[in-house]
Amino acid sequence: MNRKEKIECIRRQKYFVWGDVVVFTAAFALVLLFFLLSFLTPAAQGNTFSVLYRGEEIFRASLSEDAEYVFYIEDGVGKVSAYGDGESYTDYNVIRVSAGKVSVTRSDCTDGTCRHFGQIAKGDILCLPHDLRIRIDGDGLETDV
Amino acid sequence: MKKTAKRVAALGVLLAAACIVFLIESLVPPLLPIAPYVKIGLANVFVLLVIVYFGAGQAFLFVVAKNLLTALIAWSGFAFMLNLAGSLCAYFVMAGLYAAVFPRVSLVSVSICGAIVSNIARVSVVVLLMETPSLYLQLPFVCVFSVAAGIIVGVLTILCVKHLPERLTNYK
Amino acid sequence: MKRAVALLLFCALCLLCGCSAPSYFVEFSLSQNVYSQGEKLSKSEIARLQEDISALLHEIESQVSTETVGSDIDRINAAKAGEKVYVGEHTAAMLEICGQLYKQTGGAFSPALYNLSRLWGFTPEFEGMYTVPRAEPSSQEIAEALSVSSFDDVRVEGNVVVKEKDDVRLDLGGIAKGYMSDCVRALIAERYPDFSGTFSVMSNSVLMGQKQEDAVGLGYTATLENPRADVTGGVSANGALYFTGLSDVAVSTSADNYRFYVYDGTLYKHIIDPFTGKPSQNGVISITVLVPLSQENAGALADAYSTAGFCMPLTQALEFYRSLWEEQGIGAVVITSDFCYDVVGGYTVLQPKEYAALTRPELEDSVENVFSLREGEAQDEVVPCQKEREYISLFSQE
Repeated sequence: MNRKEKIECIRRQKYFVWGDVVVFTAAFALVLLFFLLSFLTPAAQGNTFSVLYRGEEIFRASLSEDAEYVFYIEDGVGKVSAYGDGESYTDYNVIRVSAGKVSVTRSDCTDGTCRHFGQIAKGDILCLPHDLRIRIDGDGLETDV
Repeated sequence: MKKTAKRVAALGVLLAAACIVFLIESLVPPLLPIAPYVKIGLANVFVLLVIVYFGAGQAFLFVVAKNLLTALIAWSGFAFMLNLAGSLCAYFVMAGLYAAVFPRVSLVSVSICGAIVSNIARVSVVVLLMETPSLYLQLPFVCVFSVAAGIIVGVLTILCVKHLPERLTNYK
Repeated sequence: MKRAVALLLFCALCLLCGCSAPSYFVEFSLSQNVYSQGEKLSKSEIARLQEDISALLHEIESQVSTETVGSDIDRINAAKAGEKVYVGEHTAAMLEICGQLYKQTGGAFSPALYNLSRLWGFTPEFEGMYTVPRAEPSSQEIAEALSVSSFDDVRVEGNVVVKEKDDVRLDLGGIAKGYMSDCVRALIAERYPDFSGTFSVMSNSVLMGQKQEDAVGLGYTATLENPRADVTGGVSANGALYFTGLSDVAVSTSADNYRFYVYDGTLYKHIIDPFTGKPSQNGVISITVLVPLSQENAGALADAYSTAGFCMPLTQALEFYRSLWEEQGIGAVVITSDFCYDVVGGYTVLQPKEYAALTRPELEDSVENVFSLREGEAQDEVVPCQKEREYISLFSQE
């Protein structure tokens, strides 16, 4: 079928064709597959969370106490400290811990996706512009090798 | 000669439209907390139109041009990578399926497959960059969302093809 | 025409996916936080480095694999006595190191045990069947295999290898991974001065430079894997012991739970004793050796020394490691089947609870100390403890 014929075909065609059933079942199977695979995915669930900047762990705290921390970048170094209202920061993310969950409530990153991760009790929150990762720690002890 | 000029002009218009739509879409915040980094991909309407009217070769250049242009306007390193990966994957899948299996499947299906692959590619880029395989927990939701997005994009494209005047589409 | 285009597009997609994942026989990992002269390497530099490393490992593997037809080792094994076999640079280098170690360990480390490995069913051709319980080979079969398992019957001069007996066969598995880690270290050092980062090939690791961005202040840390994780360890089943304060060191572990089978209440491991011709039965279940990178061939030495200690009586092995510590600053940890361990040298070895107290205090109560530091002198006779018997009985239920 050359181009013109195909365009004509689209014109006349209804929105769905029988062949679509194959695609929809394939998509459905894919969703099921991913759902099953999600049980194999590592997403730790623990009592503490770590803050990683540029892949290195810079801070760790417990999830059992409600608190607010602010992560900010100063001279190329990432730091975390307790959040006080009076201060002003650049390149910051405000991390809130409440009811055993972690979320990012405010930030000045260009992206803003970090705020939309919601409250997590397992897995990670990412802020790509700041190369920041908030990770829930697992139960194991870790070493370099 | 005339036909070529018309063609370039038409492609230019589509490219501009794609960029505008893309930029508008990027202003909308992520819709689902369970699946950040996915997009509806309305710009794919234009990519699909180019595939249909101008063929796969032109569409490839179109996709590359779109990515470069939008990167110039709204530069952000990681966003560029995400969009490039998503657009290229969507292009390959849609062009391939359109050439191979159409018209046995509708344009909507082509668009659905494109959306699924594109969004999986986007999430994968993030996982690879930040080493957070826990994001893959979201894959089922990403898939479902992509199906919905694909349907929207496909329907819009078909509407365009059906209702654009004959002389515009007559071998631009 | 359209179909051709479509096909081409799909192929392009597949190629893209294929190119990004280099295929290699040997699994390795390079840490993502690596530094050269204090500057962190970018992701693209790391990706390029990983590609070059995998090409190098592939090259070495193709020379020394016993499985690849036409590899140096395969040709040596197939050769007749007196036949000159020309080998590549990696094989030649490894064989020279083997020669030195063979002398130094008094024959406890031997690269000529392929026949015995095959007799006991531990060569790669038995993949998938390592754990099948099987009776011992007859003493005659063992004696026959032993007679052609001496490295003295192999002459190596430069890159020419000549056997003095037809049936002597080599297996460089006890040193190959360590040698690979040395080559990778050389590759990295050539390209990046003052490199800091870690690199691992299975149970061999090289920790280069000092740990950067050391928030906890413990330097590089390493886990000594728990070889009895099936019956102990609880929550943190992985770590038996933890090393801290490491820098510029090659670490290698050999243990009896990699390839083994249980028959009639006895555990037969893949490490064969060159003197008895049988799997080592000196009561040792795991040895970890740490060699400072100032030593030449640190990785290869660590790999070989960690298997050599299985092939001597326990007291002799500990003496051997003590002499290595005094002469070359090489440390070792030996774990035995009575669930005691000995530490030789000045490296810091911590129990899980101690390590947790330093890094994750909230987990201190949930982790288990599995092995205990031996009090008093080690004896050659090692009596397996209750947990060890439990472990063995886990596999006896066939």
